[in-house]
Formats: sequence, structure tokens, C-alpha cells
Amino acid sequence: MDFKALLDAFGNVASVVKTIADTPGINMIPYASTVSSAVSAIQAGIKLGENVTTQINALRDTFANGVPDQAQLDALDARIATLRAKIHAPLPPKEEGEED
Amino acid sequence: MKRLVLVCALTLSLGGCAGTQVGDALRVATSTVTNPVKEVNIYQVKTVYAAVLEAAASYRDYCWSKPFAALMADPIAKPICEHRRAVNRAINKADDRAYDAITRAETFIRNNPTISAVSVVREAWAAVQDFQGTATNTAVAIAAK
Repeated sequence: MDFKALLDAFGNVASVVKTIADTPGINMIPYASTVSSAVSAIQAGIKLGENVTTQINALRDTFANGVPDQAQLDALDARIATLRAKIHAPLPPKEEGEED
Repeated sequence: MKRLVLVCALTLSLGGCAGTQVGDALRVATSTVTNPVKEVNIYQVKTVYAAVLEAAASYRDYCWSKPFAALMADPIAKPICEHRRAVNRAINKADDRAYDAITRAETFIRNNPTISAVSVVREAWAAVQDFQGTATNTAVAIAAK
């Protein structure tokens, strides 16, 4: 099975469903609103799965092919730096009702 | 079903999606690195660390994608994002520890190419596992409730 193709296909379907569910009027229906929420969460999960697949493949390669080349090392370092910058970026101000 | 997919996907519970290719791949990612310590081992540790970082970044994206009130009105997002600041703090703290341990191991290997790096790589791996546990146990355990 082509896992990437499956993810892409699911992502496309999810986008369509989300667009429908987000359409004003339809969104007034509680079920459609829930579907929209679920689709947003699932899309986040799919995106995560796609990103993680890159890391998993890189890891698998190390068992088959040994030491990675400099380009792979640099790419991994760059990805780590990007992700760390993202998770450590200052948070927006606290909103009403939000706990510390 | 939706809940299962959500938990399976969002959690990056690293093995929780057993029976799928992702599940298999994640199991590889989380299996203990048992090879004798070589140069490649720290790269393996870093790769797993990057996978956990992806999950942490995804959590941050998801839980700050809408105003807090909108998230709390959302039956799916509420249990995941209710304590988003505390979760984010815990994740960042664990990430700092993992990153520092990896940096120490890399520095040691670079400066001591002929000395066994078992202990520093093991320390880095433990820190990455702790980071993974924090990322999954906070966000994911909440989501699974």
C-alpha cells in the first residue's frame, strides 16, 4: 500500500468534508459542527503523520545503509531547529477563561 | 471511530496505531537502540527526537489554531486543549532536557572519537524517551479521556 498516497487521498476528502461542514447554514446543525471539529483534528493528525513518516523513513535507512551523509545530517539539524523555534516561540497573551 | 482516529493520529502515541504501517514505523522509532554505540546511533536518537518534536509542534498548532473560547466550545478540541499552557510548558521543559542531552552526546563523540560513547548516548536516549512520554502523556492522555 502506498501510505503517502492514502494520506493524501484522505486529506483531500477531509478538506472537502470540512468545506461543506463549514458552509454557513450547514454549520448551524450541531452534527455538522461536530464533524467539522473532528475533521480539523483528523487533518492535524494526518499532517503530523506525513511529517513523522519522513523521520521514520530516515531512521529505517540508518539500519539498512548505516551512517547518513552530511546532507542528511544537515537536513535533520535544520528540521529540529525549525520545530524547536516553533514550540518555544512566545505564546500569545492569555485569553479569558484560560488557566495558566 | 472518530475518537479512535483522533487519538491514534494526534497522540503520536508512537505505537498506539498498531497494525498499520504507521504503527509499525512508529514501533521501529520507539524501539530501544540496542546496536553497539556508533556514530550512527546519535543520529538515530536525533531522528526519533525530531519525530516527537513534530508531535509537539502539531499540538501547538492545533491548540492555538482558534481562540480559546472557540476551542472550549468544540467537543473534540476541548479535552485536548483545555490545559494547553500547562501542556506546552511541560513539553518545552522536556524538550530542553532532550536537546541538551543530545548536544552533550554529540560534543562528546566529536571530542572523543576513540572513547566509548555508550553512556552519553544512553543518557540522550533516556531524555528523548522522557520528552516523548511528556508529549504523549500530557496531550494524549487528556485526549483519550
